Amino acid sequence: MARKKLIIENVSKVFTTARGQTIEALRHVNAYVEEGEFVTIVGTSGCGKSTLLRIVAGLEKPTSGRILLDGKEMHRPGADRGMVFQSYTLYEWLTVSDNISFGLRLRGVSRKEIREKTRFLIEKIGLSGFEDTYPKYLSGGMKQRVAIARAMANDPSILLLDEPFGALDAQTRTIMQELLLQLVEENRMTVLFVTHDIDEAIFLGDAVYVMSFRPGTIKEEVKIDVPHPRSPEVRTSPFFMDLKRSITAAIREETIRSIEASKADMRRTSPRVSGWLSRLRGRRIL
Amino acid sequence: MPMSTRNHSHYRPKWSDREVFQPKQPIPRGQYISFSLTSFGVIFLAWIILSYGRLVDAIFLPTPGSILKVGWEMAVSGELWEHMLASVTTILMGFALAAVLAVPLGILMGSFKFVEAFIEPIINFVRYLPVSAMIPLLILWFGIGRTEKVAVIFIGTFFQLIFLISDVSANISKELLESAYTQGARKRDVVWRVLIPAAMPGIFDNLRMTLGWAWTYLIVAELVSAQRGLGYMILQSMRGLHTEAIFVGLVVIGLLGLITDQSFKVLTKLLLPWSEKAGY
Repeated sequence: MARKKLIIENVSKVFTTARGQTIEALRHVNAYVEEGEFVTIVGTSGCGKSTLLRIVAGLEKPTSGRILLDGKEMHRPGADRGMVFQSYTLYEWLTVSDNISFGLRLRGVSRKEIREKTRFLIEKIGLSGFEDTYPKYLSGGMKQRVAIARAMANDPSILLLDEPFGALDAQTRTIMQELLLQLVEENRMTVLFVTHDIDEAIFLGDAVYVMSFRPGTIKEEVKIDVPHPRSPEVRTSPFFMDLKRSITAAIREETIRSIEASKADMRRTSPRVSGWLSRLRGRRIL
Repeated sequence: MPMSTRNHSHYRPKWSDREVFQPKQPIPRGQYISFSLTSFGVIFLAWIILSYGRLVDAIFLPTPGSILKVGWEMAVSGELWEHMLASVTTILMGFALAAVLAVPLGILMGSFKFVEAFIEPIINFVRYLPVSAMIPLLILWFGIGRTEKVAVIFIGTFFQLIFLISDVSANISKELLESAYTQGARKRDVVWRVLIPAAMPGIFDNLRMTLGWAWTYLIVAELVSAQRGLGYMILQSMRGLHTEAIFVGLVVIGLLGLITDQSFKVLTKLLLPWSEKAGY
């Protein structure tokens, strides 16, 4: 068995809102990513999957539990856990090359090395000719390609992606999934990828964690035994369809629970307004 | 023909069906320009008829020709330049002072909650106090010279600017900063290399807007009391019933406002070519 690169150990997270209410986002989450493995986390919106990824990245502190990378406990964000966000986080004032080399320049890497590495990555993401272009001229898909290259430039131990293709149209998304898979296969990267898209989770993942809704826990862990390189035809194979059916059913339960929970939240939100309303009704004004 | 069984009735478009009368429908550029010129032309024509036709006394509405003539005389005698220079220098001094202090403070206020809690109450109090109400007090403190005018502009723009800029910096997405942390950036790098450059377009925009207000404050201050400046020039002209000179003053103030605004636009294009605001 391959070495466990990343271990998420008994992680819980409780948020306290401004009004003093507590929300239990994660409860005793245990998960791991092996060296060279592509792991996806799939769950309904609001299930805490992004929070979990942010805890792994060091952007959020767990209430209890810990994150181990190569056996060492992580407390702060760092370049060893490169991250790609759903929103476009390219630096508008930097060209494509300068965006990609942002981290390298921070660490004072030599110009020659920066130039070589940037050129290599730009070619890999298929954006040759756009080296000196500012992000405002790029499409959403192109922006996310640069964001991926930017995270890869720092040679992270693990690449974290938080619904990176969520804002893209369906066709572009498919192409981006294939590109990401190709980059990961070629460079033997370890990846943790969060999404609500079941197709995406299965097509990309060697393992899929299915999360439950509030508190977020690992509901199921599914191994996807499809060898790499994976071709786009995998998406329509019977094996894929079976997996999709079972994961869809599992997520559906959680989604229904999340809808019920949000209804309950809405009813709770404004007792003062509902107080007024009932008083007005009592006076037959409404 | 058997295929065309539909009854093609002869539909005659009504006048209201034309493109120009459709809401939100773009119209050709030529048409747009001619509409704009028409409104301008109508007013100009009315002015010419009223003034040259002597329908209105020249004391109230001088002819365009006489205004040009007086303007030319004032330019040649150097009177116009003296007042213009006085106003422009005062504006630049007051505004530069306000900008130099408000930009860093605004960024801090938008980024750190403790700074916000510390200065926001004061700013919110002063912000709703019209500067014009403070002119008498400022005259008492600084006299009617340049210092008082600079103080008026400073107070009028500083508190607005700090608030607007803190809003710009507060609205920079947190994920933009977080993405820098996941690339190994330290806090100092995040502030200097991400937060500040990201805030630049918004800062420029607000500087441009407040510079326009600075003109209003200056003219008000000069109208109340001054020894030189365009506002003072207008007031003196009124006292001497030199209506032409009033119009000269108004035109010059308008042109100066237009020039400063356009130079800010050009500056944005030159310094921040990457910004969405610089256009494509």
